[in-house]
Amino acid sequence: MLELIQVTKTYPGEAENVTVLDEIDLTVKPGQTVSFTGPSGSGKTTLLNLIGGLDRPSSGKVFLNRTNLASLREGELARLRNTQIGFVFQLHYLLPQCTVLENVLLPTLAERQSEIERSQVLKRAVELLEKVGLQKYRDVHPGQISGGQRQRVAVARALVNQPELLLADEPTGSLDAETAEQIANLLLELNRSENVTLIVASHSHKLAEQMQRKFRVDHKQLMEI
Amino acid sequence: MKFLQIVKRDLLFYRWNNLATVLLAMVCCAVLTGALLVGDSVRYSLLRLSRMRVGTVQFACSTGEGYFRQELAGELAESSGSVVAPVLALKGILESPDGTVRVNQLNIYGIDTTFWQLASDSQGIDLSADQILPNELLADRLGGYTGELLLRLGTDTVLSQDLIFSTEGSNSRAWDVQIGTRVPDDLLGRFSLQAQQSSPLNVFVPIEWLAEKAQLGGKANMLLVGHDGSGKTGPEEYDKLIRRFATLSDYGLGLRDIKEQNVIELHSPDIFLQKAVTKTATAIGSDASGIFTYFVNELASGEESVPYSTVAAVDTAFLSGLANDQIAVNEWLAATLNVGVGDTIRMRYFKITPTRELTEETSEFTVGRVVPMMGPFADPTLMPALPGLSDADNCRDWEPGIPLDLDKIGRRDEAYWDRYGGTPKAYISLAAAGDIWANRFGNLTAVRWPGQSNSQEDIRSLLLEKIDPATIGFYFKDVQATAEKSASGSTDFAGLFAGLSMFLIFSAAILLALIFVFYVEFRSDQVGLLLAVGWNWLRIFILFMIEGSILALAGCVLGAAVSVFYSWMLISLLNATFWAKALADLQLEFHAEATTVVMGIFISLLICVFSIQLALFRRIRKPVHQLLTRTFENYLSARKKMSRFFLWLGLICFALAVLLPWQSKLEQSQTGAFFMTGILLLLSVFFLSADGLKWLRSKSASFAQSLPLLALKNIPRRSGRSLAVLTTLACGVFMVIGVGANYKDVGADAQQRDSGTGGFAFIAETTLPLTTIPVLPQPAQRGILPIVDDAVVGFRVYQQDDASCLNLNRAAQPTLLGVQPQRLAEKKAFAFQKTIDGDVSGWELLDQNLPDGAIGAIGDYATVVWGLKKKLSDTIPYRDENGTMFHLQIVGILKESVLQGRLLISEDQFVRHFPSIDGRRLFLIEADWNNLDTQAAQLTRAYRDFGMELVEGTSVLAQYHEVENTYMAIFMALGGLGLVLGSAGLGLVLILNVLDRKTELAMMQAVGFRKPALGVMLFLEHGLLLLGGLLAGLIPALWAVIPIIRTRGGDFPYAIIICMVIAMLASGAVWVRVAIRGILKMKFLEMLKNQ
Repeated sequence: MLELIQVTKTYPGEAENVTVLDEIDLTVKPGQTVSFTGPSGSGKTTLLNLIGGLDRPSSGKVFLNRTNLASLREGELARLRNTQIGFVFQLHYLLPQCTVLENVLLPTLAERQSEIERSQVLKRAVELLEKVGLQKYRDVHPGQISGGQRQRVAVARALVNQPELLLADEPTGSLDAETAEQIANLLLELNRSENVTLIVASHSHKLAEQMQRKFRVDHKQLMEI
Repeated sequence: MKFLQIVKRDLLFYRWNNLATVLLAMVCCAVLTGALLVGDSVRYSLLRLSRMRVGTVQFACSTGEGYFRQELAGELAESSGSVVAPVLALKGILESPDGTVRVNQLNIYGIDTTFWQLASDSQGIDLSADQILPNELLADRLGGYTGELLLRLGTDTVLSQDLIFSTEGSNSRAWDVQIGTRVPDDLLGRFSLQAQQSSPLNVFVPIEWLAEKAQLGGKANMLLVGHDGSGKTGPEEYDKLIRRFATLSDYGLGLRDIKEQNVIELHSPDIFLQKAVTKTATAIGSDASGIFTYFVNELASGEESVPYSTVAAVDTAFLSGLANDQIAVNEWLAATLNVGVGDTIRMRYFKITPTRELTEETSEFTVGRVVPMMGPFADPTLMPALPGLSDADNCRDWEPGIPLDLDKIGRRDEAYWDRYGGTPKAYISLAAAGDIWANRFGNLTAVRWPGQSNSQEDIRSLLLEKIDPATIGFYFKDVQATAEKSASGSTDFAGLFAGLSMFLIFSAAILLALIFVFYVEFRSDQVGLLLAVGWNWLRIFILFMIEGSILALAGCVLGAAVSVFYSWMLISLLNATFWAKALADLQLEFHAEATTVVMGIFISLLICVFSIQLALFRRIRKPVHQLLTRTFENYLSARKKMSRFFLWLGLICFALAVLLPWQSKLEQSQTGAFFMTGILLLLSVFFLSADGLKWLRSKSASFAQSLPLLALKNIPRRSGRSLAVLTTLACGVFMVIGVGANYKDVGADAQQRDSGTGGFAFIAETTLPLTTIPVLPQPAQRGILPIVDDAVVGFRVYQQDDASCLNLNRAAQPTLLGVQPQRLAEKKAFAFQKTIDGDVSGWELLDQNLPDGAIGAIGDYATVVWGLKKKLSDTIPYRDENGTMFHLQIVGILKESVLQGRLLISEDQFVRHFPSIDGRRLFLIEADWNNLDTQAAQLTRAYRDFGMELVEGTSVLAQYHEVENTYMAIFMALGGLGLVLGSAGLGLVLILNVLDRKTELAMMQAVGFRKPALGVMLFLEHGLLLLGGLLAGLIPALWAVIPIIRTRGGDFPYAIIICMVIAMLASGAVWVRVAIRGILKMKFLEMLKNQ
């Protein structure tokens, strides 16, 4: 489903270029759960951004369902992100002016929809809110719910377009231990119920331990533990 | 580190961020100070022209139709040590024999060499007989003409043209003259006592020559006193000198001994003695008696009649025991009419009407006595010196100024004339004479004292002692003070231009506030940090205020420098436009006062600092965590009940806006209705928008299931910003559209009675007064309608200041026009904006008696409100030619009229206060609208000897409109600039919003939104705000101008308004588009990755 071949990412530095990832290879099958851990600045987020099409590798290839992301134009990449990938960030980035339900529906607005599609995604958004336990908060604004609840909304938002790949960058980084555990469980449960491939980048070993495959990013390399 | 060091470091570190703040403060100050400097320049230019106009003349005494000895000037000069110049000022016409050159409204000044000493530059020009020295304007008008010219004066400058005994005249006299050296403006070439910036048409000639030609040998009618530090500080000191040196002849009086009757008689070459004089004269000496001798058309009884006789009215000292309904006849008349005591005598006579229309009336008297033709009853000197009568050897040679049927004069009448001359044939009481012969010139033709108990010298001394010179027009005015006052108190151009620039300043201030918000929000985490480490709100507020004030001050100082260029540019623009042409080619000179610049900086600084503190206060009063994380938005719960306070306020304002202006009183004032409605509707829009934004924020029931809906939901996120932009745009649109709608055009309704022309095609002014109505009974071509009496309304003119928009000087006393109100009322001419009594037709108010003896006056809106700064019922003091103060009260205001700049009073009141002003000099004439050119040429030709200047009413209105439209054009141009700034503000708000939401936009891009889609969302969001602002201004503006649309109909400038709306929309759209283009270049995903 996901394949990284000889992926290198280099950033231009003041004196010389800085290589963050060096000839990384990775293959992930559908439905698998994967974790990336490693020290700060090791390149976890960079790796996640390359997988999610937010960034392009300096060399090497990233295939998602046999599509080389590097070969896509911006518009195609945006469409792919919209339909095949879900993102959960450390900060939830919910729109304060929109209700919880509207925030979940936000990715569906990126493409034109028919009335039928619109009612279908609405139904799915409501179902997702039920799954994340927030059905009774659907009409409130993000400012009126807790941090953990906001992150759950962000998770539901990531899944609304039924992506095959869910990328979570430090999803529990700003949460307390109890809430972090709840979010971790939720992600795993959704992985099973939605049959979505889950890749998590986190400092949290506890979260990483719960994934089927565990990788450590260090010294520009990716090592399966 | 000291507090101020932080300020210094902040300013240096963020210098580029703060450039916009400095630039906006600069705009604010440049525009405001520039406006004030325009005021300085106008004042300076007018003052310079005023000083040029009066030179060093400090005081002036102008007696108009009263002529005095030229030597009086020398006597005053010798006594006071001042330069005193005698001037004979007359009106005339200059024309070439072949008619190619013609100059009307010419001021002819007879002067001697002392006149030149009154100029700033005392190097005079030689004066010689038969040579006229033209001023610069006249010389320019004459061009290169070098041939002979005819200088034409009125017929008889001594006797009033209105007197029925004076010769009615079209036989004015003209003399050949040569053109001499031109008199430059700085040598009193522009001399005039009227406050005006335009140059009059003046010629200067030797006073002796002019006096001789005008049959006023040795006379003058103006005294000019130079400012030479003689120590006399007030005009009243020269009034005292007049009292000391004036003779009876200077007052137009004569005293003679009539030895045959052993009486001393006071008389006047003007036939009648002024009432002020007779009141004084009859009260001095012993046994004074008044005499009023009149020329009657017929004395008859039964079938017998005697034509053309003199009848004297006498008091009891002359003839006792005569009742008011009785007449005493001399023996000759008794015998001729075959009457005796108790018989009835019919007396037919011409009544002297103010309009010089001869109406013959008849009165009946009973013969009370028959007096012998001896002693006082055989006195031909009782008849005053009537021109055309007194000097005739026989009746057949009579040529008085009235129609006579000389065939009626028989042999017996000739015999009487030969033997008794003008000896009255009958006598009535003075009281009876007052009833039937009352006139404005006076109530006596002579006052007599018995010679045995009085001496001529005693009477002379007493008269000179008791007569107040001011009551016969001898008083000095402080010319310098008036000139300074009229120039410095002119139209407040500083205020006018500040007003015109108001919206631009407002926009700059709003933008400044937004920019400063941007700056503070940029540093909000620092504010949070400072709070976190223990600073208090006040200290942080002071820190930012100091920084803001320093930036604003720097901007204002720069702005003051720019303002010099800006005001110079405005002045050049004014000088180059029709405005200057309409104002007699007035060329303004740039002038700047240091105090004005300092004041401009100070006021601008206050505005900027106020805007900054307004922006700052709310921005830093946030919880620390919000400041640190830059999260400022806080949404209400959907379920929480929303306060509808703004909604109700908005609805109340809307209801008031709809209901109030349609009340009759407000509807009469279009400007008042416009602003009242507009302000209420703008408030309504503001409150309803505030409520709408709150509603949008709280609305959660509707799903934002489309990009446009999401854009709509974004609008109220930073409602303060949105509201600021919306209000700025709405105000700007309202102002610009509203002013555009008031743009004036003469329009197609000019022929209507209620239009500014009053339905009159022409307004005609003559240099010499006309005692008849100018008519064209025989049109030049077949098919052209004749101009008859009924088609013309004439006005008497008391020439004072021009209070129209064409005169920038402050008009203290506008020119007065005397009119017969019923003539205008019958024609329903002009439309009234306001009257003091809605139940009375406007013109009839001129005939109403007012409390405190005030006299009703009517003027048009521009004259009363803008020219005089008065309102309905206000009073204006005037001094009449008898020196008596009286008050005009504004009883009606016309909407607009060709008579702008003058006040109208009834002719009866006019002649009561200005009896010596002859005839009429201004006429409104109805003509054949299809043949105006032909009729204008014919009229001008027919009345060329009177110097008739004919202008189409529409041209006069167009000239006034040109000035007003220039102000509106400037307002619209500056308002347009303000709107550009306002829409730039919209672009700025867009950038601020995006910076606030950059991570959010990054997330949207991350989840699949493409940049064009984000651009569309942002464009919709801010485009809706732009559209909202435009509609919020447009709807109130259109609603408010409904009364104007109703008045002007098809004439309403729809095209201008549509163009302006499109321009504003385009300008706003461009700014939004530019901002979005810039924003879309930002790498949102990079921001997300970095985070």
